[in-house]
Amino acid sequence: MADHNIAHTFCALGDAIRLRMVESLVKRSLSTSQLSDNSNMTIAGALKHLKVLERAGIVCKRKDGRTVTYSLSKGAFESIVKWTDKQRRFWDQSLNRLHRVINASKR
Amino acid sequence: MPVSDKIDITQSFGITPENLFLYFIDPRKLGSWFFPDNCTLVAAEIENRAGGRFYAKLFDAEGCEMVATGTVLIAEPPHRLRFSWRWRAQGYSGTETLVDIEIADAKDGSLLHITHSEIVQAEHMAHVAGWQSALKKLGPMAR
Repeated sequence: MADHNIAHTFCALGDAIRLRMVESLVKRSLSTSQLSDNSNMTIAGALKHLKVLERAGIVCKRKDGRTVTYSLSKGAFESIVKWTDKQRRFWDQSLNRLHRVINASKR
Repeated sequence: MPVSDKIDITQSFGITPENLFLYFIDPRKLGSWFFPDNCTLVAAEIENRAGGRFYAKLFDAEGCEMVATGTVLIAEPPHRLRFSWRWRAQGYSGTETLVDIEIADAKDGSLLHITHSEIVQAEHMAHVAGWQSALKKLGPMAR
């Protein structure tokens, strides 16, 4: 997953419904209607959450005729587990810049 | 595997704690450094009072808006700031996290110590725990 999606990952997993969706996808791929049934939501509601997970690179979808199936993407494990790495990158890159700004102001 | 991780950073700076503190609470100064590479900062503010607000608005390389908001819990110039931090993007909120900033006097300036950790709520924790055990099984497959 690209670095610049930092916020997307945080937001994607900061929600109980989306965490539950990810849990259910660990076992097997599921269709949109299975996912919406599991979480007691309308298809439209489920799709909204799935879109967030998809944009964060956590799930990917496949179309089989009229059925859309979601599964965990290959990079999901790393995206999820390493969220602190992304927040750390925010601090590290910002603090490097702070050093540069302070050094420049001293000259 | 711990349920939540903590970021812990210590760095020294060749300016006084009073000056370094200004780089956090003066919005113009904060705006000069407080953003990751490949992002554009629109505005950033950490109010210098308990109950004040933390706010940062950025655009990532794709032009997606990212907003971080929170509340200042402790402001003790020039040594201490504590504020909550929650990311919002695309209409969704991330989990609430907590930032602690400590600035100590050092021989040649200041020592900055930042910790950033998750505020783990019971419901969220139960889910993360269940889901991490599931991910352990997934781990070898997903790589």
